[in-house]
Amino acid sequence: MAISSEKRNLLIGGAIVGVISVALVVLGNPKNMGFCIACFIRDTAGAVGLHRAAVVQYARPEIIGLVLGAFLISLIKGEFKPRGGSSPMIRFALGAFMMVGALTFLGCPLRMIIRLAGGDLNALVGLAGFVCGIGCGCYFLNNGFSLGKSHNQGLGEGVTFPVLQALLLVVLLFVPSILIFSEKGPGSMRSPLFFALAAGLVVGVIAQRIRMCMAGGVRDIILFRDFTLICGPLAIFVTILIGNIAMGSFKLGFAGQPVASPDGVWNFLGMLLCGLCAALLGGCPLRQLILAGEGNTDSAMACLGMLVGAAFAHNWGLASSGDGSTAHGHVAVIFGLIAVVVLAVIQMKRKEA
Amino acid sequence: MKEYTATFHSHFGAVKFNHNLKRMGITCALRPVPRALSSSCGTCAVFESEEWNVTNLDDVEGIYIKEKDRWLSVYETSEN
Repeated sequence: MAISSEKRNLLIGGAIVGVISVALVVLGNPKNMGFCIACFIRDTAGAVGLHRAAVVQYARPEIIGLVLGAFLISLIKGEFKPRGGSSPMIRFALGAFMMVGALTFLGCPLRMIIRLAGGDLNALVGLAGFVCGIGCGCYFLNNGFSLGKSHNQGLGEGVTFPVLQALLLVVLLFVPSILIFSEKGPGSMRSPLFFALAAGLVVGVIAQRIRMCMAGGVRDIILFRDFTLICGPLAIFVTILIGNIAMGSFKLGFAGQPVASPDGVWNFLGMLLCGLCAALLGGCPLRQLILAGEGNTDSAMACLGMLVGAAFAHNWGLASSGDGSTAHGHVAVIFGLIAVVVLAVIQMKRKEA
Repeated sequence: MKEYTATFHSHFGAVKFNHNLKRMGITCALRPVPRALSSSCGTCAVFESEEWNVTNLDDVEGIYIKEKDRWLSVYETSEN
């Protein structure tokens, strides 16, 4: 059976991302957390003092690498295009709510796949919520939801977000004393800095080239019955599954999974919120970082929303932990779902307009 | 009859374009944008027509035609 070059690239790229994720865990990252955009942005928020949860503070080099990798490869390939101005405040809010949903589940959509490949069945519940959230988002997209046109912007606007990441790297390398580093908990579990940075750079390059997106894969199946983009997440899942089985770290079940909440209802609703926001934003948290690296300042706004959302999630006790979800988190997820649906309805336009 | 591929500023722009062309009896289908045309993962409309200029192009970013393995641009919005 012949497969398209796009699918082939996604399968190869996804497999490489899977291998790198396994290597990151072997070298020190928390289990089932080779990559997690939500967790790593949350850790970075803690490292710069935006929240005070002592166990999740570390300026993750993977995030810096992802943005800079996408930035450099888009420059080389002539795809760096500073663009923006498409409802920046709504994108900021959607980014923040996407993070609240992800931290209720305890992982971004990428980590959801990674957790699933480790045998964590809580992630299956999260996946169901994520798919439903994207389904709801597709309903709004097909019925008039739009954040408006983006416009070309100046070079300075486009490079600001990648340059901020580069500055954070300089601080991490040369003046780490002004950052906060967790001494215990997930934030203290880290692979060597230069390996993590290189991993981020490589995955940033790959994700930019093949348009890796966890939400896009599901969205394209729902909207077009197109199975191209889903090849990326599928390849990640299979590669990590094989890696976990080979190393004896595959553990099937709901209980006792690493950095996972056992609350099924809130895992479902958290990822429902995350999926809905990702569909309306046009991409999962990983995709937002990559697009921001390509000069898309709308996505940079979503990334800043994720950063602030992560800070609030810990300052206000919204984020779940291994012990389960929190009452504050429940209120935030319900409020987030209502707020995002209201925003989506407000942004709907008529088909004949 | 030629097969054109139109890209848009937003998904809903593609939905409206598809809606208009179907009302005009033109064969049109929505698909993911091919990687060769864009690094974004938006929606494109593939339609069959003698002319590319068939309806309101307000939301259209570009219109392309594929010849052998190459995409040729036949229209690009002047808007930034």
